[in-house]
Amino acid sequence: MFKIFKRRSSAKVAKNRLKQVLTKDRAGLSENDLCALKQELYQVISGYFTIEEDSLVVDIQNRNGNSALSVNTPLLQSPRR
Amino acid sequence: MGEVIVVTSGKGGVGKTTTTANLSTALAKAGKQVLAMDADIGLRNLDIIMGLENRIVYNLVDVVKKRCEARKAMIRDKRFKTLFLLPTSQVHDKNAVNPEEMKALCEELKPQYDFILIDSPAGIEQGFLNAIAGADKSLVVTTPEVSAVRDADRIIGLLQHHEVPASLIVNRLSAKMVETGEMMSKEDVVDILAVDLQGVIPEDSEVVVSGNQGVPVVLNDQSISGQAYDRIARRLMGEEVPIPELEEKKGFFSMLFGR
Repeated sequence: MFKIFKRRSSAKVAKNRLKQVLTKDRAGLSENDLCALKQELYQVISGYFTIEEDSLVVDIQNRNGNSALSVNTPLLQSPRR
Repeated sequence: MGEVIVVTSGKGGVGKTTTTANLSTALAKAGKQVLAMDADIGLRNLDIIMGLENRIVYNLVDVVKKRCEARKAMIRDKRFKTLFLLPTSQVHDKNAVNPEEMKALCEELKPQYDFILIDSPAGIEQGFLNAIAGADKSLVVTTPEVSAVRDADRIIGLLQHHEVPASLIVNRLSAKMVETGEMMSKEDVVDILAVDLQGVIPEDSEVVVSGNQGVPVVLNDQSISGQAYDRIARRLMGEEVPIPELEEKKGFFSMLFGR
């Protein structure tokens, strides 16, 4: 059975990497600010759910040409209210 | 009344000075009154690329600080009598002038020329701010490589912030590498940076030769880069010139055997 490998062109890799990195660059948020945002979001979310600070991911991404803030975290247990 | 165009990039070494020298020469060759201004204080290079390095008496800093009149610092080109160079100082640094002074200088000189092309330094600090202060529009030079494109994006953002319209020049494009998928194409770069494309200059060893000799490559009408600079100059003068699909520069033997 032939498995035809097409080497993924490095130009395509470059373009994808640039799109991702420029989305972050253009958001203008420093690493410090992103860290502060993450800490504040952790405070807010843990008022509603039990979560782990280290598992919380806050990221700026390129989704189909648009900038998006992505927040993702496993939920350990909803606090009983 | 002239148009002030700043040639900038963010990244160093992508071809700002070469572009400034060649576009200035091409515009003067077409009969326009042109001033090429070196705004890279402390690292002067426009003079040496144009072959005028032995003629400098006064410079940009002298003019801005009113130690001499602007026309005393201008150096007329060897080949074209409508082309002038305002060289920069080699002994000062970027803080020797400020944006307000640069803006005032551009306003003063604009009526005397059809085009003033300003060679910006690399970076985003005072040198860049000085270079863009008097500009009506900008040409952002990039190569199709990740760090150059990233820096160009930052520069475009800053130009937009300062309300200087920007268009793009993609320099050192290798048709062969684009074809094999190992270099981003001009379409890729435009797609990423989202600005209008002013022109494309192919990779060409003649650029090195011309720098060595102090004769801008646009004067070598056999060179593919010279031809590209010529097309860009014509676009700057308002002509509709399509951007051709670049062919790989043919070596001697392939030309001989008609490949």
